[in-house]
Amino acid sequence: MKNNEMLLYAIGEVDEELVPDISEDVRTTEKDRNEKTDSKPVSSKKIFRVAALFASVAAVIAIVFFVTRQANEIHMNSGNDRTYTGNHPTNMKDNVSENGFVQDGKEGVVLKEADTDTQFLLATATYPDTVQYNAGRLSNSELESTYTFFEKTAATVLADADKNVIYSPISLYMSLAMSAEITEGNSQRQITALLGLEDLETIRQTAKNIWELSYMDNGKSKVIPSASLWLNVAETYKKSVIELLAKNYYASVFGGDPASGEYVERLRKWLNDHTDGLLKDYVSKIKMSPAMIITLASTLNFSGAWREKFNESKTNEDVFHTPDGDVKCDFMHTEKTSYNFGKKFSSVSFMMDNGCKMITILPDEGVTCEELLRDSEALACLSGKTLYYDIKRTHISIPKFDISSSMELEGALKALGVTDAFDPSLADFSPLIEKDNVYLQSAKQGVRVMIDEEGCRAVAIQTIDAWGAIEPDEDFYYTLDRPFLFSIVSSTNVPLFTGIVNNPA
Amino acid sequence: MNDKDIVEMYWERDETAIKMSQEKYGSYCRSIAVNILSSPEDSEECVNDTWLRAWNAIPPQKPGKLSLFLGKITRNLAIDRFRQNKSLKNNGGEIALCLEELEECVSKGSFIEEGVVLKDLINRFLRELPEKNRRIFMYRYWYMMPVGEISEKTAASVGTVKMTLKRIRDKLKKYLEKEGVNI
Repeated sequence: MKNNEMLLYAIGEVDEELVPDISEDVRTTEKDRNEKTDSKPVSSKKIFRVAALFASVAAVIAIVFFVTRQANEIHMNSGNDRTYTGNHPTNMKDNVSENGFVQDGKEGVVLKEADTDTQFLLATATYPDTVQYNAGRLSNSELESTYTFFEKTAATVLADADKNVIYSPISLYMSLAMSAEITEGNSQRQITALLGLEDLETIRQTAKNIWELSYMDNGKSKVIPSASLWLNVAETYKKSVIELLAKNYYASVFGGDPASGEYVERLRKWLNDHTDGLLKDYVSKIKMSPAMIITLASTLNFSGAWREKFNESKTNEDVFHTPDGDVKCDFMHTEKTSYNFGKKFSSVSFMMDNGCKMITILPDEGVTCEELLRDSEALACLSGKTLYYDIKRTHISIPKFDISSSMELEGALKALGVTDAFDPSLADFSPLIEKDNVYLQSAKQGVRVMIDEEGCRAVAIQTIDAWGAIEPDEDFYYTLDRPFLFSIVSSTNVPLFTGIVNNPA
Repeated sequence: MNDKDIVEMYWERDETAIKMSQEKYGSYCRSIAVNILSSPEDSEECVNDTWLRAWNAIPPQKPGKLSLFLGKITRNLAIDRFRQNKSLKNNGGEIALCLEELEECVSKGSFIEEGVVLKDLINRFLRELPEKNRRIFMYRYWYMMPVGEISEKTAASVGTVKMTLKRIRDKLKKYLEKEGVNI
């Protein structure tokens, strides 16, 4: 670019207050202008009727936290040691129905025994009517807390470098927020410190806002977070906390006997239903201990169609260089007019029709994905923050992939400072239940992300036309043929999924 | 409808935002593109691309002044189009003249490395200019308005506008040299 051109661009970038706003003046002479230019505006409907009928990105995650009591107590309390108080109606309102709950006359809540399969379900989460229209906004501090959480956790959770690894920062954030509600003392403090928010009220409100702003389902694309609480009929719970979780985290509540196979099957069915059966293998391995006090299960079900479509006829087989050697896989191809870059990487984002976007980061030669997970510039890029960009004809090649990962989060959470909740002698779950030796037995997650070009070709021509105006004369090749990072962020830049693709084949 | 509501609609992914932007700022953006490119067809395509760019940019961006936000997109698209299309270079609008004029401010052979730094320098330079001069400069090099139109807008003669612009360019050249850009 010539010096005078750079100067002209720079003048265009000056602070807004230095630019005289003449839009009002122009509007008054609109009629004259229209005559001069003989305008034929393109119908916005025509351009934007690209909400694809097919999902081209799908991602699901299930995170399950099992809270149990220590083994020596199981023996004493399981089996016949149950407290039933008949069928007195409860005062619980809203999401928590009367079905299945009875009060024992004090603070506690026990569950009446489930007679039939359907009675496992005690309360169905009732979603607010307005969430599809973004009822609220995340404040800067709320958004900042999700970003800080992402920044703190990404490198630790995605530490397993040899395989494909994925995790959903926001699902873990929500599960931890729920855990903070049922813990006290140091157990709680360690969780709130990791969440980066000081008091429970703020955490609750942030989680609620995130849920409401993320949720969307237009029948074609969706971002559906779901949560559920699985209680043990043998236990007595504090009513207020169950009610609070159900109401503020839009959680469905179930009750049953964890020793029964039926109850575990019900949990698996719930997880499969909420992840469209895409994590069946992972879900089939989930077990429930008879000593289970509460299980927090949350899912995030995501699908969206590319706004700028890949042309299926251009997809071809090529080589991807994994850390263990070369493999062959299908690469999709498209072009853009610009790309982002940082000191150690280049990056291209792909917008989706649901307002979300997938951000990919290709480390420069000699730089590893793990290195970038500790690089503030790369993390900012992964969470959707705008970086430097260059206008060049960018030739993009990205492998189609369908990758899964499952992992125990216990190690990562401990490394991030959440230790007491895992220790039977230190854990404090007193807001949930009046019992000692209750602790977080395990925290696990299963994730799957798939991308392809399916269903996109039909509308490709329109979108290419819309972008035809910009034709940079320099070329840049963005070929994701070696391990790369990706993230999927919501329209408000909340990080929904992030991962490393080491082997797309 | 006010700008805040239109921006809200962009955030809610409501396509009405496009329609409202077109209605409210279509002529404004068109005037910028026409100044730069002259060709009505090319200008119209830039304006149409503006809505798509805005749709992709908001969110995450939250424009303070929607008019300037959209105007800037059109401006950049029009400059890009000029740079790419050789046929426009001989018959383009004011941009060809503006570039010639700005060439006086940058030394031949010097290379202006960083867009970001340059932007900061220009910001500082403009803040030091008297308000009236700054307006004239921005009319010319941000909006790329013909000198005759600037003369009408500022109630100054064409000669005065030309002279003012020349003085500002000289000042800018010296300023950039002092800042070490034009060495």
